[in-house]
Amino acid sequence: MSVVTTLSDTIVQQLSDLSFGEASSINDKLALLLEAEYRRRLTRYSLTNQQLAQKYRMSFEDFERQRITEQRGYTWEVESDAMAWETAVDGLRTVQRQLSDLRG
Amino acid sequence: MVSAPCSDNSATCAVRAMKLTIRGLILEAQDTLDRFWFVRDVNIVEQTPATVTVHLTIGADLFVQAFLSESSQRLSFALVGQSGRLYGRDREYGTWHRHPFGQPQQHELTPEGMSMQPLTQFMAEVEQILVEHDLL
Repeated sequence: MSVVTTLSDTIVQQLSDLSFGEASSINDKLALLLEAEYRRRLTRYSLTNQQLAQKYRMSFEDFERQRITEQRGYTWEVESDAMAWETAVDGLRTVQRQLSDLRG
Repeated sequence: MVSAPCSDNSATCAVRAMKLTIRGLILEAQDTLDRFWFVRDVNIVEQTPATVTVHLTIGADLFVQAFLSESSQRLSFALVGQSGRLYGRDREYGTWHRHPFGQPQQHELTPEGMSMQPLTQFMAEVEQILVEHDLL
């Protein structure tokens, strides 16, 4: 399915000037830009997930199941980690789906 | 120590069990710009389909962080300064607790929970702290 959208002259010009290997149409270039952004997010969320899994020696699911924030006295550090980890896990799930949708 | 489970229709139980949405929290955060004279700016610093982190800027090194997960219903409010959390309220695993100003490393259970506009309530508490302790 296609939709009609409006881009400014500047954006169209810059996309046209931007070299992207085999991608020549603006649609293909935008798809590549989206994929690059999704991959950047995927890397960031993966890194957070790995670092926290290593720090607590468990998965986020176990971290929640064992109520680690409660066990550690709800310190600022463990609560901040819980928020960052929950964000990363949800972000990972989302970006993987977005990448899969983009590839069709 | 865990607070007693809610099994009735009392106001306390309703507040404790309230389900916030990301959209609701963002709207409440934006509303603080008009309601609280000390809020300079509101920024969504991170958002996924199930989570959101919002910063409400008070000063160069002073801000309020609000976090919500719609899936776990983890809700966290913190007044943050250079040394970290200065004051906070959190709901985790369905239970509320508070980190008192002056002893933020401590936590005390608050089974009464918070109001149906928890960020607004938190900001009112922050206002009192800012004024009483001359933090601005």
